Amino acid sequence: MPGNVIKLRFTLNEKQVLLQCHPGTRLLDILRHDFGLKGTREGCSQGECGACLVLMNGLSVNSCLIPAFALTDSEILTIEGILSLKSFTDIRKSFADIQTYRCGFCSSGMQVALAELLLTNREPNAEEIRRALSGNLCACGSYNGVVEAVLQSSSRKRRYGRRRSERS
Amino acid sequence: MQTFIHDISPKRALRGIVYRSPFRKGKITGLRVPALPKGYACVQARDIPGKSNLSCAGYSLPILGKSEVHYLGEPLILFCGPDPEVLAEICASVELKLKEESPVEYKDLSGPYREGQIINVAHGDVDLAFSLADQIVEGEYRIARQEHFYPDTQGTVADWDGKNLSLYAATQDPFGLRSAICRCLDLAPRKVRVVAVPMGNSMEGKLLSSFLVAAQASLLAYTAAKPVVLIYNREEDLLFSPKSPEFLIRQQTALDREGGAMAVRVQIFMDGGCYPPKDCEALRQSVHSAWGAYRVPNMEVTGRTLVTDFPPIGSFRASGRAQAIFAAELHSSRLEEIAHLDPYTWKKENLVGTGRKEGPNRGLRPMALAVLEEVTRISDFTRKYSAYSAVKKRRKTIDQSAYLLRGIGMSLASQDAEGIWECLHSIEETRNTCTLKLVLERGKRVRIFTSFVDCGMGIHALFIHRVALLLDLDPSKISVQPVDTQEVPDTGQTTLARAVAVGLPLLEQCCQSLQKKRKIATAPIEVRRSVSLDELRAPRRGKDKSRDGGAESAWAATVVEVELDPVSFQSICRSVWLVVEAGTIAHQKTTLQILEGETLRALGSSQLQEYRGTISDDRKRCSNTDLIPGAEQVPEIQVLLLETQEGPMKGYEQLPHLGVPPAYAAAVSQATGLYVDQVPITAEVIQQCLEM
Repeated sequence: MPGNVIKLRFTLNEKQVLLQCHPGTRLLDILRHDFGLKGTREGCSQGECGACLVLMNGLSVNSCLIPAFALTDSEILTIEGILSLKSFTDIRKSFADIQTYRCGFCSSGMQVALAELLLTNREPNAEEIRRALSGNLCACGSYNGVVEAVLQSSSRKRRYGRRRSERS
Repeated sequence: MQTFIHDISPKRALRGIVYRSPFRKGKITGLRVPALPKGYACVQARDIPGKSNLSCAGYSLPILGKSEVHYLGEPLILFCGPDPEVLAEICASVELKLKEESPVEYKDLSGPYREGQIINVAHGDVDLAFSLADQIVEGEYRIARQEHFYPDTQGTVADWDGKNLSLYAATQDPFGLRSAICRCLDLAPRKVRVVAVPMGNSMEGKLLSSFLVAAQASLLAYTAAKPVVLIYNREEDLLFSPKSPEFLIRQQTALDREGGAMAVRVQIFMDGGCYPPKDCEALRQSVHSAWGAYRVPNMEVTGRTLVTDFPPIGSFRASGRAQAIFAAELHSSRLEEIAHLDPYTWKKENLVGTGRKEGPNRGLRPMALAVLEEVTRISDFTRKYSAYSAVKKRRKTIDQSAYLLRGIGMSLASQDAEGIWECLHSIEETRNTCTLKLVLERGKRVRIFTSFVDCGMGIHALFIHRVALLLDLDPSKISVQPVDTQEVPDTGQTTLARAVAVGLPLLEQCCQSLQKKRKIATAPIEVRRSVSLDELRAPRRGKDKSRDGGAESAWAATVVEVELDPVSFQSICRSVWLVVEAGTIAHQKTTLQILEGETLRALGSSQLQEYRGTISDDRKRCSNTDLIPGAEQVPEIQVLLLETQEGPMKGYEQLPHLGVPPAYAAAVSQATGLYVDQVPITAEVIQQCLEM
């Protein structure tokens, strides 16, 4: 193998993948160019806007800051995985309608951030949702709509849960 | 998921890169391009087959610099090739020899500057009024140059197959872009196809500036005969793309013994950058909004464009008008104090159309009063204003305050319909018709054909909802045709105001026609409706255009409540109340979402960093978090719509940008006891005001 190329094995959207690349290649570029996963977007290139957010081993990271050599044996979930995998069906129900995001550029990153939150907390309050979204910038200012949608979904779950328990 | 410009990369596509001047100003004495490897191409100014200047809407700027450099980052050479790293090396190897000159900046008007366009508007006898004045109040207001932040940077994908050019462009004006490219490459319109891709909320930053990157990509594709992807990276976009212009506005008001305004003299200086338009819409808007919503019997306004060595200016939401209203509102807050009136009372008493007979004026403005009264009520403005004023009086100095400083401010503004028609006309004389098409297909499916793009303003969703309502159809069966100049008619440049005021009425006419045709014909049925600029302007003939229009203006009253830390001077916005009258509302949920989002953007531009124009300063500021608020920084925002089902549909997206900055500044002024006369208001600005 040439000196400036490494071989990587990691899990991408619950599938094992193999890749050869320069060790400094950004995860963002790997996802978009090597795997054609365009849902992860490049916004600021500085790890501030959250448009490039993915889940790495269950935690959200800015893929524009993750070098290839850090990927070995890790589990990466992108927005495509979150939107299609059966394991995320329940979580998807809490996402806001796509129109809420207006232009939609930040929607992938926001949904990844929400997925991370909802994996551990299915009924977050407004403050928790905002904190989860604190690493995502929305040029359209649609935060309130997104927060409201998640809260409404939580409140539906609570009502549904109460009715089930009342019946039993 | 939307496909943005960054998501498009055709096979065999080359990457493009722009070599930019590292100097601010000078005469080029030598430009040496290194030998290019095979598969790489370059374009210089002399290689442009058609017009070397991009001309549109009064703007004219060189696509590539030839013998002079006028701003830092001015494009000089274009390169394309398969490997971005090699392209970067080629750029680094370019040798530029320049006889440097001192850049022109006007800096408080002390330095040398050249004047461009001058606009004068006057009524009454201002000199006489000033000579009779009991008191003259003067103020100087500065509105900094600011960055458009859009999440997807400027970019275009171009493909020339030897006969025809196809462009995928993030642009708000696909037909305008097509015209510009045709002139640049000397091609007939039928040979150029523009597909407008979805884009982020561009704050009108992708109207004209999108033409420059498209021209660059087109030239590269034309030269290389291969598809070219040219997308600016974030740093390049932040440093070198057009900015909203800087304004310095001087207000002088002559007052009578009771503190009533007898005359107003306003001088507006707009930094037009190095290539200001000959007929600048932003300057025109600022002159016509110079005294905001208030009456004065004698007024004189002079607006000037200054030619400096900053990057070209570009549109920004409410450009020109927002700056003028900021100055007018802040100046009126001084008059409120002199007259010992609270802002609500002063505004109510001085609103245009109320009170004594005056010069060119309008009738009563009940909607303006209605929004003012409603915002006062829902924000509890009067009580809070009195309470915070009382606290301010008892306080000694703000930096010795033991508790958080609070203030509340109010503003009143209108979004004028005039700008729509003026801008439509100034684009090109040949584009004086707006057309929209509707097609009813089998299975009760409808497709809308328009050149209005979806740029985060919900325009397509608005159109779909409207058609669904009018034709009693399921919205899921209605779609908007992808915007492709070969398939859709020219409805004009995209802004929400135009979509609402021009697009929706055309859509309604199409729906009415479709309803009639459905009774006698079978699908597919196509209907098309057009309106000419002359028809749009007809009701306005004979009216004085120096002040904002009546029934077609949307109004907003804004109240902002802030809290400041007395140690760090960091300000936190506690709440914003916005009451809007925008005629008939096409879709309430979308309207509220948009107003809320724009309020947040307006808060960001009131509080956060400005663009300074030097690489060293701005590289430090090349950070998105300095430009727009995050989820945890969102204050309580309450938006109330006063709907008038009988009135026309009006544009409203500018209203938060008109109302929030002056209300915010007034709130900070009350909280600190200082006259804050510039925006954005950062902790440094407050410190400067303290030291003065």
